[in-house]
Amino acid sequence: MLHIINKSPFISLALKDCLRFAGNTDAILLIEDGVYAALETYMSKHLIPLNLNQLTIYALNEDIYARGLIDRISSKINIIDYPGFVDLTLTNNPIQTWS
Amino acid sequence: MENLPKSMLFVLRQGPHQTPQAREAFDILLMASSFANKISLLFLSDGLFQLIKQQDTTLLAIQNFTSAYKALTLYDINNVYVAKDDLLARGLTEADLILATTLLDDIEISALIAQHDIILNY
Repeated sequence: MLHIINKSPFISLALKDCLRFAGNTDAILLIEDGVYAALETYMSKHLIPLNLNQLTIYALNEDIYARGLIDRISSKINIIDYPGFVDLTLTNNPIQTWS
Repeated sequence: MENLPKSMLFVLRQGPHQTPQAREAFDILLMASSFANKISLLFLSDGLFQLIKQQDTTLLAIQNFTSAYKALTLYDINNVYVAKDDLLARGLTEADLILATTLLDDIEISALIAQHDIILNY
């Protein structure tokens, strides 16, 4: 299953709500303001302590660059581009967008 | 002109690219600088992401208006404030920001807001 988050974790509960229900082997894709969750500080404070080892977290390259985050994101994040985004939507079913 | 407002504070709380709101606020504050005596900017919450360095919107094919913040002094806007706690919460420091700002704690922000005549929230 793929979860898509497009809201900043600092002003929205979308990611937190998603994490309540995400399964161990699910994938989470951060897009638009959702990529702020990929910040090293946010990841180490709020996500890594949850021990979500099996969960794969992706973030969209285009949105990371637009927001100036390329040198500031966690090493746990898998960066993908738009074709990678399409691949994720093809290989995961169902897809839930937590907007 | 006697009726000019003494001071105007823009409170900026939105990230830069998700919605047009941050861009609109920027256009309005440049316009306001031509008639207001004193303009101050206060970046709170995700608003301070507007000031982060290295923003490159080429891949999104949209204009990166945030680089124009570096030209604020040309418009006589020299008072730029950032919420210290919000910066820390995002793991950022002053070195991550594209212009010189003054960091304020919440008590200082209360005082800053109280001393302005007009407050605009974006």
